[in-house]
Amino acid sequence: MTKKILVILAIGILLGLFVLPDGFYHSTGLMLDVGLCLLLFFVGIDVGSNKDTFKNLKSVGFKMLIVPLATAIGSLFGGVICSMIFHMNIFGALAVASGFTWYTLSAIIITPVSAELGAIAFLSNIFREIIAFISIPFIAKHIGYLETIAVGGAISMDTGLPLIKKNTSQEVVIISFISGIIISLLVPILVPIFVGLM
Amino acid sequence: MAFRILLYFGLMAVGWLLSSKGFIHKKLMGKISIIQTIILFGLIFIMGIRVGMDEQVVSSIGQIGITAAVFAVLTSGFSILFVHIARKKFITDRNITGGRSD
Repeated sequence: MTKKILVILAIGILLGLFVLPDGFYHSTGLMLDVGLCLLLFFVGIDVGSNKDTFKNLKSVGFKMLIVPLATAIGSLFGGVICSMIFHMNIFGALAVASGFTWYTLSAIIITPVSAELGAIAFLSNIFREIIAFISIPFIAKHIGYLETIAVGGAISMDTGLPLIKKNTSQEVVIISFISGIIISLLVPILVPIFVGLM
Repeated sequence: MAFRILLYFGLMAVGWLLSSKGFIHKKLMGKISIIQTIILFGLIFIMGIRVGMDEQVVSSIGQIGITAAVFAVLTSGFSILFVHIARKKFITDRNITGGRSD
């Protein structure tokens, strides 16, 4: 999937660079908005089709919220440090950090405001996903099970879940799935807020 | 901005409601994943076009890569650290914390 996405992105960049007329740039903003609305509608349908999600949430209890909250706060703290390192607008850095590996959504929301930040958001979240895939077995063995959820952020409920399942316990799989949902829900809240404050 | 957040959640909520109440046809439910993938690829493609048409981005692509890598390391690193500190304080069940906990 990641490979396909990178190929499609590269084709788009090449077309934008060498083929399409300048006037096309303005219509891309509207296309992104419409496409994003459609995508979120279908994400809602997808989540609604899984009837066990809310049952699982009740069974694990309130303490389970610690994982997604600490993951989000940790990422935002990392974003603040990055803004200091690169002398960036702090809200721009926080918008990038709020992607939590959902590289498509965060970058798509940021790109209409700043293509440069959108590119950083896209790449940094892809890099984070790669870091997660490489490091989850090591983290599970040497640091702890719940930390495997932290490194992946939003992918803890989908692409990262099989790897977390293989390296941790059944209880952690449920926490991972629910944490992934909560972290994913934070993306369309936090990214637009920080983009608006830029 | 508040309108955007409400719109995003409104759309997800409408999708969730229609799906959980069984209003979505089985045939369509079977194709949800493909539909999402197609829309996603379209969005990525448009985003690529937008990035390619932005001269400032193209001229600083090397610096963007380095910045993105640092963002990835620091955001994931601090997430691990914060979860590690929080679970040491609040969660003791070894089935959840893993073999090397406390």
